[in-house]
Amino acid sequence: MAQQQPPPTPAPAETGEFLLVRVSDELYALPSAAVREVARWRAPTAVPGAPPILPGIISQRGVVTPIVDLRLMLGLAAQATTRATRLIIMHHESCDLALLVDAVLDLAALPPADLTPPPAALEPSRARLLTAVARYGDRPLALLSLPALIAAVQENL
Amino acid sequence: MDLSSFYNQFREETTENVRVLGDGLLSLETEQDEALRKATIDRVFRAMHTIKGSARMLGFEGVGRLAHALEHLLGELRQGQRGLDRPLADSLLRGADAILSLTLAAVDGQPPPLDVEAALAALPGASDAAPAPTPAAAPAPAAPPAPATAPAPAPTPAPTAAPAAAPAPAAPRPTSRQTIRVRVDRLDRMLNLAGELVVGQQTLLNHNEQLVAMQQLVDHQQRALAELEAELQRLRFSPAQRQSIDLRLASLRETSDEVRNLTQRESDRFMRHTGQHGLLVKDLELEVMSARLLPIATVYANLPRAVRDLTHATGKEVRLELRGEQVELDRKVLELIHDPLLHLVRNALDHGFEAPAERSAAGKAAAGLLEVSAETVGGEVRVVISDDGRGMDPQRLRERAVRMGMLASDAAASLSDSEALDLIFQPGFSTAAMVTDISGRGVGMDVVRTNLNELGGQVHLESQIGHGTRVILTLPLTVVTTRVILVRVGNGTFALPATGCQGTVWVRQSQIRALEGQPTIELASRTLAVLTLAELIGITTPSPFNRNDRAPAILAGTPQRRVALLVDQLLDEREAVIKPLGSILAKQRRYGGAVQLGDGSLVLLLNPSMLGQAGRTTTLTRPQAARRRSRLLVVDDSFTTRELIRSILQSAGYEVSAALDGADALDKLRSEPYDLVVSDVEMPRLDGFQLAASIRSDAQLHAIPVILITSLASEEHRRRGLEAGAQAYIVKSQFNQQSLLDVVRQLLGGGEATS
Repeated sequence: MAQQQPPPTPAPAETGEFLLVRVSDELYALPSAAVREVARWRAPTAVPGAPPILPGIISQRGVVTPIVDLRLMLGLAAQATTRATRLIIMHHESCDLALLVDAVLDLAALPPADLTPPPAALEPSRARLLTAVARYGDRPLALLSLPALIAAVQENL
Repeated sequence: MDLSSFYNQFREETTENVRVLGDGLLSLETEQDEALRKATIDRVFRAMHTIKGSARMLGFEGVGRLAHALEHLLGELRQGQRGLDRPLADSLLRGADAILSLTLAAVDGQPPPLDVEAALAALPGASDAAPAPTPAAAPAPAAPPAPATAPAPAPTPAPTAAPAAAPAPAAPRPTSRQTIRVRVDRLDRMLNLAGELVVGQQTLLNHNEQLVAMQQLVDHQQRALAELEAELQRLRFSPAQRQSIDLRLASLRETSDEVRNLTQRESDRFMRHTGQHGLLVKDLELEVMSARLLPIATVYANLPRAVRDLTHATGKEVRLELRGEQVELDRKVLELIHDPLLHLVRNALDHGFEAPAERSAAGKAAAGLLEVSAETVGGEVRVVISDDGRGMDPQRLRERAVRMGMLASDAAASLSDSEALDLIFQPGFSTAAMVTDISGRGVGMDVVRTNLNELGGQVHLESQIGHGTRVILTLPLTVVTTRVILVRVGNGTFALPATGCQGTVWVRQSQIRALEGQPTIELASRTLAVLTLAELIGITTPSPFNRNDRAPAILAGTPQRRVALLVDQLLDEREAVIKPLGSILAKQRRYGGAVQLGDGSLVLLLNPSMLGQAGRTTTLTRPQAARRRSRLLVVDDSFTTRELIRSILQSAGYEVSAALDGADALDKLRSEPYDLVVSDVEMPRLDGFQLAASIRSDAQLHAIPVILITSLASEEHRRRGLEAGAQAYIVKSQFNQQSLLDVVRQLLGGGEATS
């Protein structure tokens, strides 16, 4: 894994560190600047009337935080939670949310040179959530855009 | 009007504006870009203009004159009549410093720390800028550098001191305290954390109960030990055995005593510490709370102007009296009562007061008196808006309710006068025969009530024909904690705001009577509609009567029509900190927030307006001749969309079923009667166009209105939809709940569920 500092040249996508997570059997990267903390899965309080992508709310350090099931957001199969299931507590522009992922793999710096635009063949509903793609070892890795994710969640409500 | 509540605000505002000036001038010295320079000069000019205006309004004449002079210079700079050279910038900065120190002194009621005339004279072009004559060529020293903090009353240098300059307010206020600005979200966060501590405190008390329980266990153990000892005494042992047993027993007793003393001591200590901790937490909570308090004068500020404009517009004569300006309220409460208060004042002006001639004819003073007063009563603040106008006639309100189809005439006749007056808080109900330009727009009385209920406050109205009307707002001092009732519905726990509930009652299944298809019970000689809370929230759970023949219910709804909401179990009533749900869930209007329990889990708080709505949708319309709830069919192949639309329609009071696609919908329509169909367009098997066409061509179904909801925004599709026989076509990207509900109501012929 590339551990060197990203080059100082301005890159098209965010430079810096990413939290690499596994969602179903795919790999995704979240900008670590927006990650507050990583918590173990715990059963949330269900919100009747909310769509399935919002399985409920938890109190994270006193802040009501809705859980967003990233698997359903990405159109992937939702498996039962395991010991590896994690909640990624994110904060973006006064928006708090906890992303439900199947596992957290790594914290890594992705040099902008390694990032390529998402392939055009992706279905639009999914492509809009991605800012770039890269590789993690020999596996494909997609960078998620938090603003797009939040916008998509809000449309679903 | 007492202006002192604005002094602190002025001090902060001026500090900020002086900073804007300083920053702006500094950046102008280096900035080359012409457009940016212009924007900066504009900003600096506005800052000075603001200082001038506020200072004059508050009577700080010295500050006002100095600000005027600076504004003049900046104006010349703006028009290019002057270039910004070093000496000019220095003069401006010194002038700004002088403004700041004059402001600090004036706000604190201290004599001016510097000579305004001298400061004015020190400015370039003083002769044409300063309104006062320049003192005869005094060797005008530059204004002394202003001390940063409120200075000791420095002797005025006064070379030719003009005595009229900067009059200090008559009574100097007591000790000045320094203030800083804190972002509101920080305060909110602090409040939230203080609330967490209160919850944590509860948990600690639970721990102590465990310690006490442990003491009891040790007591129990000691008794058992004593019994064992007595038992052993009765048995026969050899002396050696006896000695050994006694030794062990003694050791056991000793340890047990130690354990007992230790738990006792720890429990005492723990209790003492939690007690102290509890007091500290309480203090902290109070401090944070009071940091958010502002005098109600900040809300009063807009009223004189509104009254002046309205009396002008209506030709009425009204004198406004404001009382209790010093009463303090949480800023969130103030924010939320701002619009309602303005609305009530407008209402009074528009409908309450008579024209001067009419008043004279009735033997009243030509000028009406509108009084707005605030006072603290216990833990609440009461704001009363009273007028001495014509008052309201309960009989006319009853008649109007019948005319509007809100109540059957016998139901209206059975309302007491105060209940009839309360009708004006119903949505869409207005006392004016015509919608007037003044109060007939935007917020209505129902919004006033909704706003107040959401705060945990209340509004009610008293009126005497010919003598006037009083609207009484009862507000919580703070919004830190709210009294909630915890109930269990199905597997979930929910909180209801206690202010939205009028009590609880046990309902026996045998008491329930179906009245026009609606289950009701008789309570204190009134008929209450019976609903399950599960139905209102939109969750499916077995009826509470499945296990028991009686179930607890919460009394809610409006004073005209109460409803009993069945729940599975009443759990608790307590003070709780209401946490906001955050921006993602902000659209879930049915919840007002969440409450955290001692174990850290969350419970959703149902929005009080939803409880009110329960009364509206299901009971106010009920007495109208045998009107059943309209049955709607929602057709969509996407689960999310389907459930979303279903929940919107359900919460508006409709009975809603769902179908998976057009074919499924046709099956359902043929087996059960429906009043309206809301359908998606793109669906497998039978799409929305085909569904609409099939409905139109079916002899039995052709009269059922169809609304198509789709992401296809093209004109072509809209035309196709209408050709296929759809009555309405809503595009998803423009989708909003209200427009859907409006269309549904329109197509159902109005009058049904209100929203």
